[in-house]
Amino acid sequence: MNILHFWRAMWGITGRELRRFVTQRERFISALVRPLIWLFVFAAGFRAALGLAINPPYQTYILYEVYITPGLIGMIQLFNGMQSSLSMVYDREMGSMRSLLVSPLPRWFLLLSKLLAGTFVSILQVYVFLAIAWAYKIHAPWQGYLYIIPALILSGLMLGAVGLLLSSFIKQLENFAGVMNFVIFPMFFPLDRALSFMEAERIKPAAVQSGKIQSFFASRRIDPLCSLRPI
Amino acid sequence: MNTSPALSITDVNFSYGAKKALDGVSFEINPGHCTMLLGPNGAGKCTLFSLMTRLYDTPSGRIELGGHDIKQETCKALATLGIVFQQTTLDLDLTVQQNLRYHAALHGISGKVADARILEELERLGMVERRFEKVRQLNGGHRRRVEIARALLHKPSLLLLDEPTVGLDVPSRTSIVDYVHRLANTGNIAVLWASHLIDEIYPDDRLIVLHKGKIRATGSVDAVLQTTGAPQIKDAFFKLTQGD
Repeated sequence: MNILHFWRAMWGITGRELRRFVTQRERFISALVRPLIWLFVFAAGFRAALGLAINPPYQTYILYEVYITPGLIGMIQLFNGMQSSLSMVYDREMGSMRSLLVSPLPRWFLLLSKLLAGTFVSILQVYVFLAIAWAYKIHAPWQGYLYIIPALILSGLMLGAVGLLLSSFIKQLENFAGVMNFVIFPMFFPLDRALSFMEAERIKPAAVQSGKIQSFFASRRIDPLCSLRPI
Repeated sequence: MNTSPALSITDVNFSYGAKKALDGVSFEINPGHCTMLLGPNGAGKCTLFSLMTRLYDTPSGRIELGGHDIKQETCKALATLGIVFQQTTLDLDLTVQQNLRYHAALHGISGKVADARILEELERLGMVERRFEKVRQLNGGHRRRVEIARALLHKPSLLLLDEPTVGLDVPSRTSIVDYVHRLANTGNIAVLWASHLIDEIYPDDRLIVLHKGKIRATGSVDAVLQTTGAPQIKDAFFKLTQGD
């Protein structure tokens, strides 16, 4: 076994996840419908009702759609992490997990490959969403579309890992929907409290302080940390 | 040249809690033979397969595939193994070709070599025309053929089949049984076929009879008939699998 074997196997696993995602049209569409409803319907509604104060790092008023976009990216990755988890449970129930486990590769590598494959699929969804958002006149400077990649990889890995952890506890597919809601829904509230605390204490994560994340929307019209709040 | 047996199992024990599933199981199989692992439901066949494929950890005893210890040299051991599980393990949403390429990638086979081998294996099993169809559209017999092609794609020295003909109609069963026996006769591969269907046994097969986790008989069909004094394999099987 050599590096080439690992490389081919990782591409094989990623390719499979990607093919499954693209060929299951309903999954592909539904993954985008949720954030797009927030963007087109809720954001449009709240835009008239909510006035956004000038809040650092913003230097001017911004539209609610712009304010909400980074949060929607987080939402896409969060739900994709759960989808990867569901996919693991499905594979286990349908038996296709066995063909993966009996391959001549270490288990840690198989898990890592699954995680990376899920992250890759989530990043793909994010870029499709950003393309639609761009058409909806939510524009970012071109560098921003590159600078966001490391952040997307990290958040995709983190949320994917949460999904994998969940899938190891969920034994039946029927239980998944309930557990998924049980996990996702309360996530919003601790996050909201954490954000309030961070704002009150003027604490910001290093990535935010260094300006890497803000540079996604390089004119600093959006603070991703603050933008998670409305989601 | 590797002269080790394709599969060597020495004194393997396994329990589910207090219930003993395998009790001191030992045997060897070599290339060129189709070995039928016979046993009624609950005999321990599936447990043994799970241990041989490293789905379960072996708590005691030793399992070697192609001379590689499954615990110490897991990857090398699994590389020598092709398997068809009782339950289909194909991805229903992918095409036949995509499923086989996925398997080839997991075994580190390059795209070009994989494509050539996929064609070769599907040709042998009469499935070439259907390689771009989704597995979901195939019937049970064709899915099994694809799984056999997949198991042979990386040229293993041992082919494990866990009741692969369950739920298939008679023509599909006959064609699979015949194909696997021809494959074993080439001499390049050892076949271990778990079954409880007596009519799948050919006269020159080796037999291993497992009952309540213990091996009751091993050897050629003639040897087992002689030992049990039964006129037919069916009678020998009933004799060996009665009582404790």
